[in-house]
Amino acid sequence: MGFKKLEELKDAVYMCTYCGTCKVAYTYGPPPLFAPICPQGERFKFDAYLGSRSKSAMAKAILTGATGWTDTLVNSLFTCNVCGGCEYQCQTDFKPEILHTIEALRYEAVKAGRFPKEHGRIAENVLKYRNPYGEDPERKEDWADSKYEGGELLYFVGCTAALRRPEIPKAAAEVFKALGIEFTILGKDEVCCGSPLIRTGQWDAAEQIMGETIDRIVETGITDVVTTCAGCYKTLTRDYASFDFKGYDKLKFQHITQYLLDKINPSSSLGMKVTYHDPCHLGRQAEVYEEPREILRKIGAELIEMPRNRGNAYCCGAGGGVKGAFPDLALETSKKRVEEAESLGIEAIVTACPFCVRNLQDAEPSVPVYDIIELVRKTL
Amino acid sequence: MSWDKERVYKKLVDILGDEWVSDDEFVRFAYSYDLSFVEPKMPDIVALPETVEEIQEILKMANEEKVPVVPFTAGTNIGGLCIPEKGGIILDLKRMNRIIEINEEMRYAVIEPGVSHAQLAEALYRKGLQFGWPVGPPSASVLACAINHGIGHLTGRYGLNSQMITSMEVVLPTGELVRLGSAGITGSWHALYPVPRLDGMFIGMLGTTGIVTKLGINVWAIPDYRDVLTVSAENIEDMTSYMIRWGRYEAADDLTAVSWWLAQIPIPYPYRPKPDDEPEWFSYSVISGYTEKELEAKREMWEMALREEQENGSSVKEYEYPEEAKRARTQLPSQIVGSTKNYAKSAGGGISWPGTFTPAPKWPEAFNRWKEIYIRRGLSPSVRVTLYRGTHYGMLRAMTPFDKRDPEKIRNAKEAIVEALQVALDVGGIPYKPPIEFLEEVYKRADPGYVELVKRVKDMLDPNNIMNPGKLLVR
Ligand code: SF4
Ligand code: SF4
Repeated sequence: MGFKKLEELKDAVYMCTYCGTCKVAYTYGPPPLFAPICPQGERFKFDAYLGSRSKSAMAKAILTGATGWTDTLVNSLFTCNVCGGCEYQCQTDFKPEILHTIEALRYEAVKAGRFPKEHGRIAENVLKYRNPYGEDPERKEDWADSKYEGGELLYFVGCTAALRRPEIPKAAAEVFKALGIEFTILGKDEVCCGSPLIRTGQWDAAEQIMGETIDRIVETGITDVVTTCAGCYKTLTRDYASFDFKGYDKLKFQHITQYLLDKINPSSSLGMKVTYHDPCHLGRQAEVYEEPREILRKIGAELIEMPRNRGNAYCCGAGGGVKGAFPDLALETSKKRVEEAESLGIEAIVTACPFCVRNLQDAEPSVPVYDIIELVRKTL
Repeated sequence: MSWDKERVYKKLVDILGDEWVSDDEFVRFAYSYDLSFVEPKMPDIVALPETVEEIQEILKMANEEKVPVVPFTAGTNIGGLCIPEKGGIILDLKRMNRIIEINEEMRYAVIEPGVSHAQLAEALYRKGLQFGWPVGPPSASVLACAINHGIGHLTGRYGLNSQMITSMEVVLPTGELVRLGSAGITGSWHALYPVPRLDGMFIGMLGTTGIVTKLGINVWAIPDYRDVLTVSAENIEDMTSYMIRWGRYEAADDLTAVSWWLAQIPIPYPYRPKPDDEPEWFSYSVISGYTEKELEAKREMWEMALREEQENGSSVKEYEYPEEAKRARTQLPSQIVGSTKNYAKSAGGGISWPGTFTPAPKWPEAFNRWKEIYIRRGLSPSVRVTLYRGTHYGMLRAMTPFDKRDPEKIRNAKEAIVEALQVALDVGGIPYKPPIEFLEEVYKRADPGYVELVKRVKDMLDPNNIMNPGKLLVR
């Protein structure tokens, strides 16, 4: 139970053959898809950065003592978006443990004191304020026009949406109201899901708050939990599942796109040409690909796919602590993704994660970037 | 090390800029090994040039400094070809990844070293064209595969991928730039004929005589109709006889047989006996046509060959492959058959082979001896045989997974492979993309005149022996 340490992952690491299939996105088609998939590899080019092949090398280097925590090793480890684009390509038994290995390496790096100071600050903030932004917990309710309580649904808002993208929870609340769904929020008592800590290897800090996060949910007595954040969804459904938190097994988590799919009945048609960006945490890492697309169809959006979609989606560049520690790289990556979207002649970029919304907006696209819930609200 | 690392590093930075040169220990580690049993060795510096001019400058500098240079594209070969025997600089060519031309009428393409099979497949498909896709990772380099006698599929009746080369541009070890084939005479990249075949000095030479910076290659139309014809046989003798009879028509795009062990996914590791009631050999032939009738005519020829074999008492018979397995024969490049999934999914990371061209009539003798060697060593005789250009080239190899966590298991696999190679050499086979362990065996038997000429060519082109030194073994 708990996070798998590097030593426990050794056998999986040695299943990597160094074949290099993870270096690029490819599917046979027809037509075939070929495209870059590793944002940090695109930037730094050396094989020491490119795809999960470089991460198995890293694990071997550390496990065998072949190298220490060299500057490039640390830089390669922390400029990785933990996006899983490489993992999606891999076909060997290393595949299911690739992202765990990256995070376990980060945990070792943190213990060795070799990690970006920005990540350390995130941990301090979460421990002190229960959110990574270091904001007063009261502010988590700023977006809400009332303290939502009651009903059979708990809306786990998440720190980024509540504190940085208030338009998302506002839209979600309006949609719930329009559908006559009563719901509860935790507001100032909502504790960070721990995603930024887990991804960046700050596991000791993560373990200090995860139990509390679940306790707050369990205390409401509500078992149906919905999130608008892809990161919260992945963390609550995947990472928590390897722990034994009291009451966790009774909880049923859904991303809002899953929850709403059979509930919405749009009164108007959006009539907008959009593309959908799969958040890494919702798509590849939680396999929620079709619900957001079906919702877009249902609300009357004309969906045009980017060449890299679903499992082959190119990361927005924010994840894995990159936005916090390497903002220039995060921006460089989001610009590439925005270019891919803009080339389709669309009117808006839609995604389903506040963190993606934020980073794609930072690339200053020529079209607006929406969270899917904002578009749903427009049609109800 | 007889060269001054600090000075060389600085000169590389002067040529490429700080960003594209590294001597970080982890960077060097990441370039120190590959899939194979070949012992890891670190380069001293890794550099990523982007232009031909930069490569010229680097090689001139390397000659002055007498520092080894190893060209590297994707690092996905399984012969340790880019593992630097004597340290020095690895030149990773991935930034040189332009498809310079696709000529639809003449059906050739001109590519740089960093172009992957995935990249070329996408570009060619848009024009209804294909290349000889190997069952390698889609990220592997087309150029490196072709100049090292890599093999392709679906174009087997035209030959090996090195036979698809139409022209090339090479930076010589001393820094001069040359173009060979028609590109060297008129600037058109369509053919290696009818000019002196100087390209041979750079093919199969494992990057020891220069750096190929552009390559012209034949490409083919994707046919409108395809079928996969599948049979089984109880033994290698019957399978070989069937393949030679059917192969003489030169009708199949891919004519391959695999032993029971290679047909398992993944290959049993360690060795597991084949159940008695299952055939030992399976074969697939990919046929194609531009009309239904053309396809039908080929099917008829195949039925004729099969009937003739059966009338001679052969155990070969039609055998239905699962649909997915059939599709995998034509849907190339492929992550599934092309990555190491089918070979080493759960073995422990290692994969090597005795990869040889062995005359088809000698396959039975070689396989039966390989089987004994492999089983004795607890390894599956997961052997594949393929005919290229009708019956002209017989490819024979054994995919050999092993566990890299255990030095004893690496040694065991290596010894089995070298023993198998000795058998192939006994019956007239020759290894391709050979690690130096294979060349040791080759030179024991090779004509002294041949070895001397290889040395002379190497010395003439690379007087300071800077290019991938040690890899060709003669220098
Ligand atoms: S991570 Fe997977 S795809 Fe990448 S080199 Fe290793 S085995 Fe191959
Ligand atoms: S997780 Fe994403 S950024 Fe990290 S190595 Fe894989 S593809 Fe690259």
